[in-house]
Amino acid sequence: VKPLAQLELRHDADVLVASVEGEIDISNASELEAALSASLPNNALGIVLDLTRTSYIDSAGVHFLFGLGARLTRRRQQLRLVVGDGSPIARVLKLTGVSWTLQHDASVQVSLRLMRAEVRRAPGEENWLSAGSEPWY
Amino acid sequence: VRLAPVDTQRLDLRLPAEAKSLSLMRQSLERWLSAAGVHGDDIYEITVACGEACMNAVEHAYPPGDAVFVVTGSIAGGELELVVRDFGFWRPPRRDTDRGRGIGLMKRLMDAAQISPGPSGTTVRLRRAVRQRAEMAA
Repeated sequence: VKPLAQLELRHDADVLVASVEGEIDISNASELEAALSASLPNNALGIVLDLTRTSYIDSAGVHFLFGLGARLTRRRQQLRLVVGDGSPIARVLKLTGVSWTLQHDASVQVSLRLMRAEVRRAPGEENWLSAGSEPWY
Repeated sequence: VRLAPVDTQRLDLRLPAEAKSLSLMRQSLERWLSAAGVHGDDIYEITVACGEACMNAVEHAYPPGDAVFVVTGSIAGGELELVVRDFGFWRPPRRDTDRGRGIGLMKRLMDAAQISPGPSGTTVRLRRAVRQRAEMAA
């Protein structure tokens, strides 16, 4: 059975860029969350989650987005979504309040720029958090 | 598991009540709606709404393991009706999956969404006017 979604992760300096190609539903939302959480360093500014190639999302996926956003906020990190204008999932994100609750941009480049402009760290702040790649929740 | 409905007037699916059935349901429903000439944007929204109803069915499944849920659909005179039935007990939406949001989504995407819990299972009835390509309309 073909997996519903492919998760691609890369680090762009101090930001984790994750892209989801395929569908997000109750069968894979928690797996995605675990994979992202395992890959986010404590000293990263946050996650840019690219949903440009996400063709389907349901309320379980929306729950995953809100949960991820809240957790990053508590850690003084940011979650930014990338959603194209004509994206099939845009209507669901609008109806469930994602698009007015979570930051979202039209491209990964814009997200990276805005995240670097908005997330400011006091000098040495990353050292206040526990080191390295320990679980972050 | 029936995957390829040939009758464009009716959809009839019976699937195991488990999370991975949802993507099978979506494929079958999309294929059926598309064969019936339903407009692409409508197909997407209907699929999301039906997915939410089926997620309820999967969560209500009792006993877990060998339970099934049933999805039937019909289109007549530009009106679509989908009925999702499970055979478990109604349980309030689980907090950790935020099901309240899914029910809201279902109601907003359809013209009418009616949830009827009963002693032997729950029935969700979804209705919506659909745009069909003229030659496909019943």
